[in-house]
Amino acid sequence: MRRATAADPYRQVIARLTQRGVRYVVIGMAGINYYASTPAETFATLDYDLFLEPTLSNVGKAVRALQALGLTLGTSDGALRPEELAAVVRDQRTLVATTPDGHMVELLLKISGFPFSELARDAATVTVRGVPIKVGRLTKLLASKRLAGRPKDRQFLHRYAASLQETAAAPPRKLKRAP
Amino acid sequence: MGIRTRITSMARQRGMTAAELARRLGLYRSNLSAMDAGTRSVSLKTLARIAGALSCSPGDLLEIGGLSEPRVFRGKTLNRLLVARDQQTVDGADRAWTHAALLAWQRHYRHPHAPRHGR
Repeated sequence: MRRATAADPYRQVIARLTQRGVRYVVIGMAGINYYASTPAETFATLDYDLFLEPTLSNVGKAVRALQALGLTLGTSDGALRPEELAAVVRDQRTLVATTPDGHMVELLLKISGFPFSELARDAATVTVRGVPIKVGRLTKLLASKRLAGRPKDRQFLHRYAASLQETAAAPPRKLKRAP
Repeated sequence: MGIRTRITSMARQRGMTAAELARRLGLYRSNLSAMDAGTRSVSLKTLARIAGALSCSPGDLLEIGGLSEPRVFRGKTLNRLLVARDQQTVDGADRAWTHAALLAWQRHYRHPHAPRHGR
């Protein structure tokens, strides 16, 4: 078994999911960060959220791919038992995959406001050292946070609005001339 | 409210990137994105040309029920800035540095004395 101990566990996870044909879209703060134009515009998050197409075959493929990479799968009730996967998919519960180094990947089967098809339809594709990554549109990721309406989401939207205004007010960055 | 299109996603369904489609039609790729977002109007003639290149009807390219401006924020200006930021990320853009920033944040929160970058 190959363990996910590389310097960039998220790239390795996405590469494996793509290889196995798993249908996913990166969402949440991790997804929003791909739209930042500089590291200073990114936001801290301790996990990496993936929205999976909520079908048993797709989620099963994702679980097997991540387990083969050495990640531990669990739900809010503890470790994931193979026999409970169908119930997890039926109830659209969130799975958490943890690398041996403690990096967390959340596998969500539903989000506020958008079915998977709607988010996947116009997802952007960015690359990380050659690995293509499907990312939900920024407007939809933020709209989902607005619809979720949790205090932490509202607080984040305030910070994001401030970031947008700061960027708009900042003078354009000077491009460095090549030597 | 502007009219939104789904040119980019239709092109993808046909195994073509928006950039390839734009080249084929002699249009700018950024204009196709702006049409999708509803921030640039599209003439019926152009829509018909695009539909021809994608072997679909012009009606298939129209986004029904979409919002030209997302209601994420209350102010129109903020929503416009949001759309602009959404559109500046083009397909295939390299974002290796985003992962580096994310992992730096995580090291910082796990090991508070590590150097801090970003916000």
